[in-house]
Amino acid sequence: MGKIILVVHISLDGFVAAPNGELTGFDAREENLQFVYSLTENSDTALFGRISYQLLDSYWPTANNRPNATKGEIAYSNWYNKAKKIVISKTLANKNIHNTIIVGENILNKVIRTKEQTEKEILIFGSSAIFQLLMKHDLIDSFWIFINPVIFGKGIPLFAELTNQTKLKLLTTKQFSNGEIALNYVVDK
Amino acid sequence: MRKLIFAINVTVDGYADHTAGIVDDELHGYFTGLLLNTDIEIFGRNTYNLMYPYWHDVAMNQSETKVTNEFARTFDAIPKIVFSTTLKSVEWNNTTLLHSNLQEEIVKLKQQPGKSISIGSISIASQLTQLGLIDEYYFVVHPIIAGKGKRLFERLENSRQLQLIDTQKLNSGVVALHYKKI
Repeated sequence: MGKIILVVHISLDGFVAAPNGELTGFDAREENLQFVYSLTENSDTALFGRISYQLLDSYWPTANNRPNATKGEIAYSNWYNKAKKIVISKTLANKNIHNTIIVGENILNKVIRTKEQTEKEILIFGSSAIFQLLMKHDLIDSFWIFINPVIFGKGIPLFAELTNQTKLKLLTTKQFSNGEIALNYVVDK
Repeated sequence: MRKLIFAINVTVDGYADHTAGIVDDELHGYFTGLLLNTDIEIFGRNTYNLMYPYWHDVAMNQSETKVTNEFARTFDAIPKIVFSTTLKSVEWNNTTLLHSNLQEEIVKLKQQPGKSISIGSISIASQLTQLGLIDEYYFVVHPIIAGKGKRLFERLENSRQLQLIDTQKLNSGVVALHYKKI
């Protein structure tokens, strides 16, 4: 049985982005990227929403070939190309993209089946709508929450309108030179 | 010149629900440490009603653990200012009630010599963040996803970049993050 791990960057006040999706103040550097890459070591599957997928897919498949690619970029790009990608979208067409499956219906069943079919970790990047859905159904096992040193004051909340509180257990923290701090939690069952 | 600080318990998803959180001696000890560097507490009506008479009674009766009693005594003894347009009077010792001019009063207090001024109210902290008057922030992050509720800041017009100064991990999994204004 695989585990689902949410990897997310938020503002200090709990927003994944400012109101129109702006990420001003999230300043990822090579150090941060190499760390995110280290989180992929036990993972063979990535789960996205459409917007995050399109954003990441426009960059990462070829990032390892760029002339100035850093070590972190090459490593992450290689992992991205190898990983099985599951994209939750009702609008994207399934176009036989390498290693990529578009899921438009029976989303929860597909996620549960994916969990059952792997022994490894499934990483979720971006897409607040999917976080809500999976949280509502207790499908997230652990969290890497990267808190950026910025107050957005308004925006797209990491979680909203959930019925229940979830107690977590802090495993570890990691501080970066840009003032970002990553908090690693598991659900406290 | 006094520093203006805001110290608040918050869930990891950015909600400031005072009923969600791990309240233990270590947490009270952390806040006592902040209070020892503070000589004015600022509240709004809601926070005042949450804190009084509860903490005054603990300070008087010493009815909790040693560490929590010490927090209560320290908190009870600090001069407090309550900003409220609706409260008619306040009963807590060392407490002044003001009805208006938040910005002017804070600017005046900051210019005086002394220890820090600490804000304990979300709505006041939001207004003063908007005005750029808060010098340091202590976000005490609890290992809880609240999923809904009152947000850490009320809607602000602009985002604000801060600088991380230090972090402290408590045994309960609470992580205190200390930032300053850039």
